[in-house]
Amino acid sequence: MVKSGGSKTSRHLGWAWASPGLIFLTLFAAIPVLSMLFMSVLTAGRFGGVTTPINFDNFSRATDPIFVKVIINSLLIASATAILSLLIGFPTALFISRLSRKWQVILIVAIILPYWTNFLVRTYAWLVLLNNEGIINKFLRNIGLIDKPIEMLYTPAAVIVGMTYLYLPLMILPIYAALEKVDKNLTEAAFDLGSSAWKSLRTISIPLAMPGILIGFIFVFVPSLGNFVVPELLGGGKTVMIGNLVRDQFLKARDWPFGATFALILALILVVLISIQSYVSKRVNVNA
Amino acid sequence: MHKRFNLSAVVAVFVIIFLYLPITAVVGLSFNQSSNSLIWKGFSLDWYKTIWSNEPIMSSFQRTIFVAVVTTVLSLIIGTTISIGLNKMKAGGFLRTFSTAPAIVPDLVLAIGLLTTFSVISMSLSLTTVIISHTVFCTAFVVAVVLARIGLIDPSIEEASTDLGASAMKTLFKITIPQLMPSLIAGAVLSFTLSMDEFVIAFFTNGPETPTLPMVIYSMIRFGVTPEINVLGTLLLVISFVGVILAQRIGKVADSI
Amino acid sequence: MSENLLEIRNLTKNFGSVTALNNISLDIKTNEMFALLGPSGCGKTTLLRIIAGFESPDSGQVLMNQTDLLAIPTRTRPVNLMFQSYALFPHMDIFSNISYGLTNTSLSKEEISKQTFEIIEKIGLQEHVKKKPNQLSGGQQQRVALARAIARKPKILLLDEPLSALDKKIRQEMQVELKRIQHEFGITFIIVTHDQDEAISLANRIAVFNKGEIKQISSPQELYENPTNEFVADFIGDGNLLKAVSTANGFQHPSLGEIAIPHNSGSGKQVSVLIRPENIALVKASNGSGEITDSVFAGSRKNITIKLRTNEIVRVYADKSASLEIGDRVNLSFKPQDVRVF
Repeated sequence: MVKSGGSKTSRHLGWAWASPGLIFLTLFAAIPVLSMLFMSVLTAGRFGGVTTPINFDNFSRATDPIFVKVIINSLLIASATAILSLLIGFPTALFISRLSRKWQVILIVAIILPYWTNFLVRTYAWLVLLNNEGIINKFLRNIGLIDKPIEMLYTPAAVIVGMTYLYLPLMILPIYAALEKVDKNLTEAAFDLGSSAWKSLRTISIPLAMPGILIGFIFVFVPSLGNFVVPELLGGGKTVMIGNLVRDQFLKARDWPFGATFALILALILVVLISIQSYVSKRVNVNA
Repeated sequence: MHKRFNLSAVVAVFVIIFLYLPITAVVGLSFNQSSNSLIWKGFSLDWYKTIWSNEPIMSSFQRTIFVAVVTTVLSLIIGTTISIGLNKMKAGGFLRTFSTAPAIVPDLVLAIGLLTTFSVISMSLSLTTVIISHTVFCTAFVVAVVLARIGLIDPSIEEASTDLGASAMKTLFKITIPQLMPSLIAGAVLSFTLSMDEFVIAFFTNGPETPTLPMVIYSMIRFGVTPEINVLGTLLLVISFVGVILAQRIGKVADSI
Repeated sequence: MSENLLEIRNLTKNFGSVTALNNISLDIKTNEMFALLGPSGCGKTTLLRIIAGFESPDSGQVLMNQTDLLAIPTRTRPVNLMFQSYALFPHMDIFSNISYGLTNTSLSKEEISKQTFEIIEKIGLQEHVKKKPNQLSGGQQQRVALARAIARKPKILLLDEPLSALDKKIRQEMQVELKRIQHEFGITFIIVTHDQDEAISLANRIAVFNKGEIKQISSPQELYENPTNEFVADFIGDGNLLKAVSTANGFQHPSLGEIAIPHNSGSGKQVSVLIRPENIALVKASNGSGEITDSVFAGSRKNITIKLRTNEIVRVYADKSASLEIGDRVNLSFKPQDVRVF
């Protein structure tokens, strides 16, 4: 007779199903990511790769003002991108959430569609728009507003606009999802009670959308901070971000432990940010 | 009320223009006669003709499709088996988070982690390493989608199949998989598109001999833009749009089963 | 005389520290309608799942015609289960659902089709062959589940809460239908239910479960008239259980006084006394032992609620023409043979 209980059998069966995949993810996701985070304490090999001894030199090297400036710069650019996305994403999400069901679907699809296009092509599109002979400069010249092209490309602003373009749908969707769930009667009730438009926005819509706003902020901030493609293509190498440092240390300087140090810093910033997000979003939920 | 409504409407219209103006510019310039990809000279379909004989683009496109297809198949198998297993063992939050985390880890961190791992185990970089790397994060997406669906299936349905004499294999293919079909289609579409568009991880884990299409686009943008990129961008745009619409249609049909 | 089809011997099953079945033994005869009745979490579903093959007991035996049933794999056991949720295959039409069990046999396609249509006809599902389960009503879905479960001609059909999801009218229809089908197909039914009406109306014999143990096995009438313990007395039917103290030749109740009933509990003990509502007669008296607190017209009778001086509540079924009003004081009278003492 089988001695084990039915639930135990199905647990064993579950492990049998999941184990091969879990081993795959352990070998090629968990171990790579964790070992990379610990690699910063090792020494660079002569031709790339890593060797012992263990040391903490990389951390003092990373505090060099040049690198500190890059880190601060990256934080500023990623924050600016997230804030710009929020400023145009929130009103858009609010607008969509108040339309009829049919138009909500149409507009949401319209907002997601560009996101499904190759991100290099979308980045490249801004090269087309912003260069000195590009559509925007030409338009401004034709209406006589300027006579010399404005240098828009290869500036931090170009990087911020480009990344906002890339990740804006990731801001709009969670805010829309949060607002869409809100009972429309709530905002209407606020008006009946004599609330001004701004007050009802501040006291009803924004607090209720807060969880979505926080998630959207993370969704835009995270890929912006680690980006090295946009700074290179739209910043023209003049704007250097953490991602560029990691890429250069790995592929050019061949100092993997030093590159891993910046990746670790990147990961730590994100962990701190996500912790703040989950803390704030819990507090918001309690208050609401 | 009307005042604020109008303000948000203005922003929304601006956002739609903001999202579509750049890609419209790319599509427009794809019909440009000029050999400078950025300056308009006149209408022409020439670049749509020459792109087919552009060997680097065409062979990298084939590689990209190959990687995306293999990645999709592997991710579906691994992601589905993990989901079925986690569901059977009534796994708690840790294993669920563990299996979906690669979808959230920044691509750069995953990329250099994999590069390091392949170097430690002396695996030379090739399309194989790209496929392994893509399968890692695509599996996470498949798990996220399938796990959400599998929890909704009445567990007695599988028991009923066994009770009526079906083997474990028959139950899997005749009962469980048909129930999961909408999520499997969603997972496949996600994996295929994500893999096809993926640049950062491929950039780090691919060998120099076998660039994928995004890598070719990257170097085209970096080292002298050719007009073919507008055509390529337009074609990719069309493929993505058709893919999204198709996926939605199939999803609707599968959902109605 | 019919012999034992299924013999359950000393079955014990624990889930961690929870005992689902504690040394259960019971016999089920061929062609019986047998009900496992008890509150939720009493172990009845665990027993059903052990017989079906979805759980294994920690110890004990299940024998079918003297052979070990537990040694037979789930998928080949001559036992089928009709699930509480019906568990119909949502992506298959009704024909495919019902023929599913037959496709797992060595029967030819023609034979499967023939047998399936026979069942479809007997259960009256001819119009729905091509439909999907979600296009059917609850009652029709249940017929499909029933047809699917008996298609393999099992020796035993297990039914998990078969009527719980149906509304009252279809319930009564299905009760008749289940009896007809059981008779027509000659299959032994084991019904699991928490609903005593369902058990009493369907089953020849009932096993009452509580906390992993069988409290009594007997016919519905016997359970009602002669419960052997307080749990069954309370669980089956409407009853008044009053606290009293046993005396040498009866029991003493603070409100009702001393009543002579032969018993073997000994004297001076706390006992529970069961009196059914239909066995109590009420006599108006200004110094009566109880006061009427509620009176509800219930068609053929009046349901009267009485509060005794001990604050105990007694329910009584009175004649609908009885002139009893809320606030009246009454005396309660009953025959000693209608009283049970535990």
